[in-house]
Amino acid sequence: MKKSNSSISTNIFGLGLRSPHYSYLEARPSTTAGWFEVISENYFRTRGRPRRILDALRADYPISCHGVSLSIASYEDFDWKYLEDLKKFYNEIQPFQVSDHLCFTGLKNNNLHNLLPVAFTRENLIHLSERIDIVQNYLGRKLAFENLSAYFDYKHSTLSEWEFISELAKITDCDLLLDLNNIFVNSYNHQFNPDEFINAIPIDRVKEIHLAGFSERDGFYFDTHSNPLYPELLDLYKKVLSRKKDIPTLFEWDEDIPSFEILETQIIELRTIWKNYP
Amino acid sequence: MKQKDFNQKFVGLVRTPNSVAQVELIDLIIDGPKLSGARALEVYQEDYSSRLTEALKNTYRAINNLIGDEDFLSLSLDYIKIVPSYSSDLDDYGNLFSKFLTTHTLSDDYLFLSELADFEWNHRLVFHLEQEFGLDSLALISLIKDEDLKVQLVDSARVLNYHYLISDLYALKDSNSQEEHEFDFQIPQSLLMIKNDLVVKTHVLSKNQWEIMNYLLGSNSLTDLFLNVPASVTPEEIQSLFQILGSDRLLKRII
Repeated sequence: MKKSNSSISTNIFGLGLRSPHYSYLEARPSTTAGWFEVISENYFRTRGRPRRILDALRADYPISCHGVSLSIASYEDFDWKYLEDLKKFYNEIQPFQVSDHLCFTGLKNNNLHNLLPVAFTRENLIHLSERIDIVQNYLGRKLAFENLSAYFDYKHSTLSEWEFISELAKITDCDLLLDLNNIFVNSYNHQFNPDEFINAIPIDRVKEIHLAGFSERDGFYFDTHSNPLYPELLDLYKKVLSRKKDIPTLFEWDEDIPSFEILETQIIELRTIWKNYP
Repeated sequence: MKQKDFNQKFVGLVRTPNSVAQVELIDLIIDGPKLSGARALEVYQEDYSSRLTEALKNTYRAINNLIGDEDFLSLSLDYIKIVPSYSSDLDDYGNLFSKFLTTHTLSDDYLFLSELADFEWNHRLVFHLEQEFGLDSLALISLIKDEDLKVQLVDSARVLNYHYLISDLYALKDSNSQEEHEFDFQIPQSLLMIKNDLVVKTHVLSKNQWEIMNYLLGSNSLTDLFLNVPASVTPEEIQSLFQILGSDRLLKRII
């Protein structure tokens, strides 16, 4: 089923392209997804089946490229080979959106493959601004940066997360990717009001939203992307809709991934909320 | 502490837990209402191990299935302790697993581990390669008379030589691991691994066919090969080998 590969105005709800769904998507079925998001790094070095599926998919759907290894908050020099691969990949895929996270992921000689938080300080604000400028100039385009789920806060943070992110966007003119699951999980674990975050963020800079189901262990919420959407998340989503309605929204499921049809039911639910929202 | 130093210490602690660094870092983070600082650090340590273990599991499915989850986890943790990930892509993790297994004690119980890991890593590499097309059968026949024709394998193919029946062991990757698999795996095996459209295929080579491939890939011409074919090689062996090489277009000219 061919959908416009450059516009998502007709269907703002997307799904992540994940390997358990390759067989299903190879048949090019009609789906409820309006677009797909791919993890950029997973496609740098493959010319096999994953890349062939992506190429087929991008003929039918707009694609968003989401990264997990930029490590924008690192204090080491950039991995320039990585940036070169990223730029080449963007040129090949021509995504409607590109993004990564406001985090560091380890060190050059030891990638932890995790999204690690930094302190919300003026010093880090300047450091990240400089690095975002470098990356955006090198790639020749704006990136959207995603807020994290973090399992600890720094004692010496002087700004709230939303103040830090808002200032960063203003200084660098970067876009934002608002992960509502991360906001919700953090608000529960660190006990703050998620509405404060949602209301403070410069909504016009938000170019993509992520929604996912978290999990609970020993009274703590984990950002596992392993469950359907909970009502609390949908309430938070409605609050964003009250500020701005047409932001491309991704439903993510990354652990114990169910059938594609189950993901589609989540999109249908989201679309119903969206349609009925004034 | 500067963020730069925190990042260094944090990575060190996640990789190798040690109480001095832990105390230093805990002092810099807030004990959350739901999770203490110490427990938060542990969460990241656990996450690190489980992500890398999962990556190894994805690549080394046959080993995982043959030795079981418990042994595979212990093997993975030993590997993770000494080999960090350098790549931006988590799926790249595990390139030294075969070498690591040559000296691991578990290889005393499972003699084939290192070779099976080598096979699985090559399988992964070939899977992600674009299929390269070499000379077809007709081109190969027409060029055989060329005394200088030297060939090499296309990039999307590999010749692999093992002490054990590795392709048979690999075939058990999806079997029920509780079943006993009684067969003599201590038989040498040579394989030709190729990319065929989107899938990876392996052809089992006879000892003679493996020697022919080795001779050819050692920069010897096809003419030399036919002049020096060992007496033990049967015409059928040559015919079936060149049928594969031609129909799957596995040879290309060295220019």
